[in-house]
Amino acid sequence: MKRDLKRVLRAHGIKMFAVPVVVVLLLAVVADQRLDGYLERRQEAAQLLMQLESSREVLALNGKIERRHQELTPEYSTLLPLLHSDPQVSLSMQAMQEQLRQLLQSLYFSDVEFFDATDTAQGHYSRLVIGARFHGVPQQLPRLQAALAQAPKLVVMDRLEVRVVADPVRSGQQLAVTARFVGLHMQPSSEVAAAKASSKLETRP
Amino acid sequence: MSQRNSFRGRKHQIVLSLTPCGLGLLHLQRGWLGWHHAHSETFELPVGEASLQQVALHLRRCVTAWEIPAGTRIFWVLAADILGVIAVAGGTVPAASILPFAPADMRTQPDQFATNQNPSLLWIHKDWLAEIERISEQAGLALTEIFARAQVFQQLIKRLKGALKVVLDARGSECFLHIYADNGMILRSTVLSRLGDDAYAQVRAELAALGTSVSGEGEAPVPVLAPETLLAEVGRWPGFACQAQLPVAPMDLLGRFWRSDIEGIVVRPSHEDLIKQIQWFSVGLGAVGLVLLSLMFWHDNQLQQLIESNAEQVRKERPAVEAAKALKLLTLDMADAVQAAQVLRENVGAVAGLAQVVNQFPPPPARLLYVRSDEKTLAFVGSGNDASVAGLRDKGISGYAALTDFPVPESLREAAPVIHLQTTRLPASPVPESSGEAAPAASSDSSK
Repeated sequence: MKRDLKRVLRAHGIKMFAVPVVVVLLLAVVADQRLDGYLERRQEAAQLLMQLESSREVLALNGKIERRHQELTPEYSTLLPLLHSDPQVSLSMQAMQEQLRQLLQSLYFSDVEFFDATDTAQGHYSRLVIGARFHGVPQQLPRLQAALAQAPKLVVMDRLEVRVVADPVRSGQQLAVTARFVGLHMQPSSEVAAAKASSKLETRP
Repeated sequence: MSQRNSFRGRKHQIVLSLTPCGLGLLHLQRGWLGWHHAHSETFELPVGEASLQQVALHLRRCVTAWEIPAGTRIFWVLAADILGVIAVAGGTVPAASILPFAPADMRTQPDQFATNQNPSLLWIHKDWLAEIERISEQAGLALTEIFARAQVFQQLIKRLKGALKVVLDARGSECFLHIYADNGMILRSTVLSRLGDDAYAQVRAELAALGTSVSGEGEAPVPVLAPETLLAEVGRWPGFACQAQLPVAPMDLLGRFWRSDIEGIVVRPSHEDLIKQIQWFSVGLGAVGLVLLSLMFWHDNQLQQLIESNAEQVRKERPAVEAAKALKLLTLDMADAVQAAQVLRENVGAVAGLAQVVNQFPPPPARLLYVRSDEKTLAFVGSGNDASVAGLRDKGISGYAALTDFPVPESLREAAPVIHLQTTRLPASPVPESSGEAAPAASSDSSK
């Protein structure tokens, strides 16, 4: 009751009401002295637990990954030499353009001209696309397709536009061809990672 | 047993209001939401010797009927005929020096409602106190504190403005006069004989005794707080400004007063309980805090062990995990590259479309002038005649949908080509699971 509070305050002053506060302060001091870093340890323990769970998930999946890796290895080993793997994409693009120029010229296509070279990164590989204009005769096109299939680096012709035009040199007709070629560039770092991973796997107990 | 009763008694309190002709009893009980009015009752009392016997009787009956535990505290609120008030308004003589009996025969208590160097004194003769104590004990109650009836109105008169404030307090046929100083201190409390001209004269006389004359001419009127029932009569009194009391039931007024911090004559100090409660609360707080701290120490120790073991485990597993992550990354790269290469290799629609058009184009005089081909679409333009167009439309292009018109490119418009058609590649048909029925059909198609 209010009158009791008033009398306690008159008889004992504030000290009686300060007792619980002092008790709380004492508890806080003890907690501060003896439990320094408790919250940090809780956080650290939680993080370690999460890390451990994540590691175990990774290790649990590793069997499947190894099997898949073994399945892919023969095909990938065959494929790897067919991919451009210069340190930079632009260098790979230049290499592919040079490869195409030599190939087209070796098949006697004339007026070879390249345009719209673009590269699109898709994960760890890039798709190299380049357009080319050249002149030739119909019999050269199957030979071009065959030569592309035998090329040292993978390149395909995914768009083709053929127009019959006059041949001013031979006074006849020829084909004006506009084609789009596509190749692949693989970042060399992946190969390094592959080598590292393979070496670690081999040394694992 | 007595301790248990005492504990149970702390959940109940009784407030008794006694006037010459009336008794009011209020039972307060402590619940989860605090104190509330559990019961209340009022009784008329006979005048004379039988009055106190009736008080004892009614009190015992109510205690029994309301199942009040023994040892419950009781607070008495007494009218001026039993508990008097002495004040020396404006004087330098202490009120204690003009008590009507010897100090040893009386219990007194200064009115502490307002700070004053010379406060009024509440006083009661010890014979009365003994009688009140006896009545309380007979009912199994512990007399705790005694208040003057005038104290009930001390909170209410705060809103009145004036050097002196008057309260007329009516209860049935009884009427009481209370006079307060501007700070709320009680100056006079008395029982009025009856309302009327005598009452007006008595009020004026009491005020005159305090050095205030009420003439009604040129002086500020004295504020009077009166119940609605007396407004008509008191309103006619010259020199007074009458205001109505708020319509509050007498028992509610008593309950509000009981909850206030106004102090009376203490018979048994009750604040010792509060001190014990604070001490027990502190001990409990300390005990709970220590238990919590102990739990935290234990948990902290557990955490340290857990951190050590988990860190060791993580350290042991790290090489294998990193190798597994690298292998996963590499495998994903390999899968991406293999899939991308596969998509490229399967992308032979452009050359295949050109070959299909060349193979199925009609013989001369039709001439192929233009072909555009990619993975999904095929368009071609050529010279010829309507029969060539009809033949092409009839036969279609193998592996492609029906031929539709193709807008002639600008560069070929001069040649006015008759054949200008386009189509889209059909999705590869699924390989039938059983070739038993499909094989003869295919062979018959090829024989044609």
